This record gives sequence, structure tokens and C-alpha cells, in this order.
Amino acid sequence: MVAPASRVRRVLAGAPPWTGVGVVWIGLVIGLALTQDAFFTYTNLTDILRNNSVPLLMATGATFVLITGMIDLSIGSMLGLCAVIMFGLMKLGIPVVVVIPLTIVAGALLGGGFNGVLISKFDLSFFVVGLGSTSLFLAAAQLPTDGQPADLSSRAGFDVINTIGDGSIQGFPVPGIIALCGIVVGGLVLRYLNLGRALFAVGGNEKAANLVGIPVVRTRIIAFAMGGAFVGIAALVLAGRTFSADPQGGIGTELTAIAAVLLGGTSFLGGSGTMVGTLVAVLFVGTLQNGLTLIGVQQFWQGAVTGAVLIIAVALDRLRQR
Amino acid sequence: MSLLRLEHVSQRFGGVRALSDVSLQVEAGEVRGLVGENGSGKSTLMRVLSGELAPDEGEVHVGGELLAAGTPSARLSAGVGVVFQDAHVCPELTVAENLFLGDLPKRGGVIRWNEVFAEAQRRLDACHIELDLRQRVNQLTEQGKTMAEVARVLSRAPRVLAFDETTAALTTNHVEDLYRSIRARKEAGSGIIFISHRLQEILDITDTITVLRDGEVTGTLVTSETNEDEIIRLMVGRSMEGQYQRRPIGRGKPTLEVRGLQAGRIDVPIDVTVHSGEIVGIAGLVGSGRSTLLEAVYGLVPREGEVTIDGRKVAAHRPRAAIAAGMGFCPGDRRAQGLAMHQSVEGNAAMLVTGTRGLFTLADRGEEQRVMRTMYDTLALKAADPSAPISTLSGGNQQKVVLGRWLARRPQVLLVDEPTRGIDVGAKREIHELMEELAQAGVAILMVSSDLPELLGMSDRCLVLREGRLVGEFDHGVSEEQLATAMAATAVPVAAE
Repeated sequence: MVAPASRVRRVLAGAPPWTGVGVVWIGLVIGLALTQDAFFTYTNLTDILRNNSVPLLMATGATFVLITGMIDLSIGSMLGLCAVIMFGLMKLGIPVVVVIPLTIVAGALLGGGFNGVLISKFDLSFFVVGLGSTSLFLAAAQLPTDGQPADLSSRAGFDVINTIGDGSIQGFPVPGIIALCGIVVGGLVLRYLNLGRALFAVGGNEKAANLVGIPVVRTRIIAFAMGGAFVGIAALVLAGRTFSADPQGGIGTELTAIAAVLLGGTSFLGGSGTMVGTLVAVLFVGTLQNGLTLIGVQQFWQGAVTGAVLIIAVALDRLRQR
Repeated sequence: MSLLRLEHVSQRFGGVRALSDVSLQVEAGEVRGLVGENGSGKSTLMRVLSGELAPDEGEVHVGGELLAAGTPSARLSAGVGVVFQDAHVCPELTVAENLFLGDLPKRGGVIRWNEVFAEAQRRLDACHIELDLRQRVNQLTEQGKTMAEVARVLSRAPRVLAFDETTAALTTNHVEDLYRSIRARKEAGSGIIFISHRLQEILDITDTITVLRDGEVTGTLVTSETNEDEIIRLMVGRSMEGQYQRRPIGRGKPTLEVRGLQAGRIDVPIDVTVHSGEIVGIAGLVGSGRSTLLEAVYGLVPREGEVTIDGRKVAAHRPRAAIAAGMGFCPGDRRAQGLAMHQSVEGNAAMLVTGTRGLFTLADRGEEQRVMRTMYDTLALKAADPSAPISTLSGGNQQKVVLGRWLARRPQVLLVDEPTRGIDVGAKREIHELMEELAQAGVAILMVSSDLPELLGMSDRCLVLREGRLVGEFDHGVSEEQLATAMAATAVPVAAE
């Protein structure tokens, strides 16, 4: 005869780490649907996805890095730099079908080739490298633009970028489709590719991974490169929505993205994490902000509520693990 | 009334009895040697003495006063100082600061650095230790760190003082320095416990000797009236019954050949040959270079010299090359080097499959399942839920995963470091049987162990390492006494006074 309390605990122990956020999210959705007429409409729901596709893309990339036990703190200013690079490429008259992959490659190089190499190959602290490259990337983005957002709307091929960032198919947001595809691809990599196994092994125990022949340094660099590539995609989406390449446009987004990954159950220490968790966490934060706006809570209070919820959710998760 | 009295101390760790009813008295001005094999309970007893561990039963009295259990700070003020194997010094601070941890001389809240250095120098002089006070500890050599730890403990002028294998990390000159410090404390009337695996040192410095075996005191001797043979007999004296005895088979062709290997502590080139179907054991004390030897052969640490398998050269410094050449390696510390402790059993089992394939290929689910099945079938792995964290398994089952990863690959050469450390008797036997089977199948096995009965029972040949040098080779059938003597003898004779 098992006591109900311990049975509950046992079920929870076997549940995926994002169960807590998932339950709270569903509760939030039901609550808002019952109380706010404007909430459960096709337009509002797709708007939530549209508004959160940049954080979702950034968080997807950050999940790879966090699984290896590292964090790329510079993804916020990298977002601005990628947008400025894209602007520069368009200014040079390079066709947009080339600009798009080049922007993604630029992100991968900034993440993997710069941060990843410094952190993994030269064994520097990810924290220090992250702080340094945050300033570096920001400066590199501000210098050619005098720190001002550069207008993209008049550039040839902007219509394509605009579609990526703000288009709709049957009313469904194109950036949402891109971000969801990103999550699915990310999930497939983690589950089916040997690389996914290597990411978890390196994050779980670097020495043990090295001992069985997993190339630890290369695996980490690839994680950072994937993180950067997703920042590149996010830069395309952001520019397409705002009609501009803003060097400062990504400041602060790194914290939202990383917080969402942690909220989704990916361990700060590395070695565990899921893409589903990241998706649920981003949607939860997005829904919460949407709900607060609908209820009419002042914008600055929204930040406070979101922050408090993040801390509470992570604290609950810690309790669950005990 | 003795200065130090340990009375009826007993301690269990899970199912293992680490200490059972150990009593020990040390007088003022006495140096007591404490000897015993690995796992005999010496270090546990030191943790009880320092107050770090509150024993299940037993009391510690100093100067006739009963000390409260489990309170290291109270022990310090009662005048108990223990020099542990792993230095307790703060690596980022200078030697001088470490001598004053927590009580730097201050005036009006400002630290008086002149006084700090002057007083630190006085303390060092008083215990006959030479160190640069202004150097940060992490810039010191390993020996320097050990001496800094010794200075830290001695500078408090403890009434009761203990050294837990402090000399293991020291060369002969530093051992002499340590002897001088010990004699100075002895003159000052301290009671001293000295632990070492090197019996010559025990005979050199101690007045009396207590021998531990399997957590019990098996003898108390007066140093001037005893000899190495008697000590070893009391240390070993275990019946070999129930120990696994390997059935040696004829030795095959040479498989693993190591020529002129140098790495880390091993500064004199070493040659090792392991034949197909042969188990070669490596004996040596901590710090003898025994683990370094395996790591260098596998390519985990930089090496000089050549390693070949069946005559084919194996590239250095890349475990991947070693695996491809047919090597397997089970590390000595499975938690630190072998397993991702909070990941699943199946995840840990599959790690090698990942390591031997390209990153951008599909994970080989079939092979991963085959490895998992091998562990259940061949090794009788007890893990009800393969998706549960591996930390929920017993030590023996964890070790089966570390070892079992290699089985599916059938390596030609298997390097194993402490294959049965910290696991129960049943699992130990199963692992021994597995190694035996692998040898029968032609695998060449090189095994490091600090468990002498295991080395004797399992090895066709036994090599002895001491201070980075290969000092002996014994065939199957060597006695535990012979092996222990070869391991413990002081390599460079200490100059007579």
C-alpha cells in the first residue's frame, strides 16, 4: 500500500523536467481563456507565436550550448551584429538568397569560430569570454552604423526578409513556422544524431567523454556554432519585423533566452535538457506577457511579474529534484 | 594518563566495517607509527581524530579530556593537528597567509603585513621548514604544497599531531626535513601519529607501531624490537581463501608492446610487454606512477616512447586513436573519469558507441541496445530501469557499466585501473571472472590495483613501480610479503645520521 503523497512524488520523479512549467502554462491558458474574451482567438494566439519567435530561436540555439555545460552570454549583442552584417551584405548589392545563408554562417562563425574556440580550445572561462565578446560584438555593430538603426525597407530584396520576419501563410506567422521548424530540427539532432549524444556526454562528464573517444573540444565548438547560427536566423526575423538593422536591438534578449532554457528544465550544470522544455518555457513566458497586457497591467509591472515567475519556477524545479 | 586516548572507536560505511573497536594510546613525546594495507582503516581513524567524522561508537580523549565528536574547530583549539593526504591549504593565498588562516595579526582592523611575515618566518623556523613565504601555494611544486600543509598544521604547535601518508608525495630530502620537524615536536612533548606505506620510514622515525588490518588492531610493537617482516605479517595475515584464483593459460604472442615510455612521474624509460591472454598486474603505492603508466599508454597524458599493438604503432595523446587501435581503458575513479553520474544507465552505457562514430552520423541505436544487452547478459547488470540515473546503482553495478562498455567492442588490449575499488564482494568476484574470460579469449590485460590479494590472484606477472621507476617483476605465485616489500622499500637509502 503506497501512501498517496509518495505516489505523487514518484510520478513526478519520473516526469520530464519541464512538467512543472507545462502544467502552469496550461493552467494559465485555461485561466486566460475563461476570463479574457480577447485571449483565445486565432489572431491573439498566433500573435503570441509571432512575438516570441525571436526568443524561441535564440533559446533553441542556447539549449545546445547549455547542454554541454556552457553558456554563451554574448548572443544578445551577436543578434545586433548579425543584423548589421546582413545590412552590410545587402548594401553591397549581394542578392538576398545569398545574404540569408551568409547571415546564418556569420552567426555560426561568431558563436563557434570566436566564442567556441576561445572557450573550448583555449580553455577560457565562458563567463569572461561572454562578457568580452558582448562588448566586442556591440562595438563592431555600432561602428559602421554610428550606433543608429539602419533602414532596410528601401533595400532590394527586403520583401523576402520582411516575409521571413513578419509574413503570414493562411494567417499563420512565417517566423513562427521557422522557429517551430528550428525546435523540431534541434530536437531531432539531440535525439537521433551522434552529435546530440556527444553534447550530453560532454556536458555530463567531460573527462569520461574524452576517455571514450568523444572529441570534447570539437563538440563544444559545434554547440557554440549552432547557438550562433540560430542567432543569425533570429537576426533575419527581427530585421524583417522592424524594417531595420538595429545594432542595439538584441540587448537583453540573451537573458530572456537563457532564462527560458533553464525554465524548460535544462540543467545549468550541463548534461541534460530537451527542446520541448525550451519550447514550453518560451511559450509560457510569452503567454504570461500577453495575458498581462490583456488584463491591462502596466508594462513595467509585466517585467517584474515575468522575473518573479522565472525565479519561482526554477525554485519549484529544484524542490522537485530533492 | 596518556596524552591521546582513542577508545573503542567503531565506524561502518554502508555494509563495510571500516573500524571495529579500535583503541589506541599515545604518550607525550612518543611517535607512534600506524601501518596497514589500503582499506585497513588508517585514514578513517585520522578523520575521527581530526573531528571531521563523528564515529558510530567510541571516544577521543586528549590530556584526559573527552572531546565532542564531529567538531573540527574544537579539535584545533584542543591542540589536535592532522596533516591529511590531500592538502587543506588555500591555493590562491601565499604560504604566509595560509599559516594564519582566519587570524592574521591586525591592528585597528588593518592587517599588519610586516608582522605577518616576521611571525610566519618565526613559525617556519620553529618547525624547521624552508619555504618562500610570499609565494602563492599554487605556484609551489607538489612537494612544496605538502610542506606548506605541514607548516600550516605545525605552526599551531599542536599537542597531538598526525601525519597521514605525508611522505608519499615527498622526495628523500624533504622527508629529512619532515623528520626534523617531527623530532622538534617530540622534544616539545607532543604525541605524534605517523602513517606511511614505506616501512623503512616507520622504522626510522617511530618509537612504537600499531598495525591495523580490516579495521582492527592486529598488533602493537616497539620499533626497536621489531622488523619489516613482522610488520608485514601482521598487516597481511589474511587468509587467501575465497579469493579468486585465476587459471593461468599459456601466454600467446606479444600484443601490447611499450618501449621507452616516459610520462609525468615516470622519468626513467619503461618497457612493458603484455601477451595475448595474459593479465599483467602493476603494483605500487600512491604516487608511484602506476596510474600515469596506464594513462600514458592510452594517450590520456602526454608521453614519450612508443606503444604498439601487434606491431602497429599507436598515435600518442588521442584516446580515439588508442580505441581504434584496439585498446580499452577503465579508469580508476569511476565517478570522476568514467561516468556521467546524473545521466541514465543506458546513456552511460552508450557513450563509447558515440565516441567511436562521427559526430554527424546517425546515432547507432542498434549497437547501443546491443551494448546494453551485453551488460545484462554477460555481466548480470542489476539495473531495473535503464533510464534511471546511474547514481542510483550500487558501486559494483556502476563498475560493470564502465567495464561493460568495452565488451561489445572486443578490444585486444584492456587497461584497467582499480577494477574493484569500493565494490562489494559479489560484484568483485563477477568482475574477476569476467577479466578471466576476456583473457581466455585472448585479450591482453594490464591491471593496476592497490588490492594486493587481487593483484596476486589475478596476475600472470606482476610489475612493481616505485617513485616512477620499474623496480621489480614477479611471476604468478609471488607472496604478498614479497610484493609489499618491493613496493614499500625506500628507493634511495636515507643517509644514516
